[in-house]
Amino acid sequence: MINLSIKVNKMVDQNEKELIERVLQGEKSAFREIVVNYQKLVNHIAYKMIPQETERDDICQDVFIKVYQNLGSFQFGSKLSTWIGRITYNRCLTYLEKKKPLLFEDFAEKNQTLDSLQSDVFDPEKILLSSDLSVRIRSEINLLPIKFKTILSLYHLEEMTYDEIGKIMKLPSGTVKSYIFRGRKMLKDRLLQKYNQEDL
Amino acid sequence: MHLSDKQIQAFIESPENINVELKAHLDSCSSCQTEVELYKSLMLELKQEKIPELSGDFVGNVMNSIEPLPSPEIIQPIDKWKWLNIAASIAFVMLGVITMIYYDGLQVFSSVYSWFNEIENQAVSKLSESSSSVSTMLGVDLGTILFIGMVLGFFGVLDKILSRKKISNLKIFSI
Repeated sequence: MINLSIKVNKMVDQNEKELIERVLQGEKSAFREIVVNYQKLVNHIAYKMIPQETERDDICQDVFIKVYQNLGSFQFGSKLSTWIGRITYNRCLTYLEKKKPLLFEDFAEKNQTLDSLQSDVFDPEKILLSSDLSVRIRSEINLLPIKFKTILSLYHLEEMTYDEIGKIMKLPSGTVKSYIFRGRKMLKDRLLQKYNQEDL
Repeated sequence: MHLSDKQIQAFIESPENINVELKAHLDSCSSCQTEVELYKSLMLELKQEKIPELSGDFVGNVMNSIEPLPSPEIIQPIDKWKWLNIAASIAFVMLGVITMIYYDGLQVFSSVYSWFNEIENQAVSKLSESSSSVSTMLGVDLGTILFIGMVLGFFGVLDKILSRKKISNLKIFSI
C-alpha cells in the first residue's frame, strides 16, 4: 500500500516535471493546466486570509502570474502545490500588511469591528436562530483568527500534511500540529459559549 | 477522569490508537461521548466546508494576462577543463598587465631580452659550433613574443566568455 502510494507520488512528480518543462519551452496551454489544477488551493488560502471578495480574484490572479514568471526557478525541492501555496500565502500577507491601515480606516468610518464585517456575510441573528449545527460551525470557523483558519483549511480541506503546511507558512511541523489542535478546541469552546450543549 | 481535548481529538483521528482504559471510560461516559460527537461534527464541517469559487472566467483572465516566456536556449555545459583554461588565460593576462604596470613595459622587454641574450650567449659559447641564436631561430624578438602571448591570452578569455550560451530556463532539468 505504501509502495503504491510512493509510486503514485513519483508519477505525479514526473507529470508535474513534464508540465513545467512544457511551460518553460513556451507552451502556454500547459500553464492553463497548472492554473486549473491549483486554482482551488490558491482560492482556499486567499479566502481564509482576505475578507474582501472583490480583491480576492485579483490576488489569485497575481499569484498565478508570479508562478508563471518564476517557474524556471522552481527546483523541485518540494511539491509544486506547496510552492504555489507558499507564493499565495506570501502574497496574501503582503496584501494584509499594505492594507492594514486602510482596513482600520474603513472600519472606523463605518463604526464597524472586524467581527461585524465578517458577520455581513453570515447574519448573526439568522445563525443564532438556525438550528442547523453546520451553519453555526461555519460561522465560527470564519470568525477564527486568520492563521488558525488557514491552517485548519489546509489540513482538513486540502488534506495537506503538517510538513507541507509548515513549508507554506514557514512554521515547524510541531507548531502546525499545535495550531490545529488549538484551532479545533477554540471552535468547540466558542460554540459552547454561544449555545447550550444540548442545542448542538 | 474525563478525556482531555487532546485525547478526544487524537481518538477521532485514529481510533485504533486509543488505550484500553480510555476506551472503557469513553464507552461508559455520556459527557465524553457528547464531546466526541461535537468534535466529530466540527471536523466533518471543516472537511466539507464550501468555499466560494473564483469568478467564472478566472482561468481565461490569468491566461490573457501572461506574456509568453522567452524561447529557451540550449545550454552548452562548461566543463571543469574549460574553466581551467579560462583561469589560466586570465592568470597569464593578469601577470602580463601587472608586470607592465609595475615596471616600464619596454624596460621589462629589454631586461628580459638582455637576460635571454646572456643565457643565449652562454649557450652559444658552449656550443661554439652553433652560431644561430634563439632570436634568430624564431625570427622575432622576445618583446614581440610576449606581446603576442598576451594578445592571444586576452582573445582566449574573450572567446570563452562569448562562446558560452545564455543559461536557459531548462537549466533545472540538466542538473
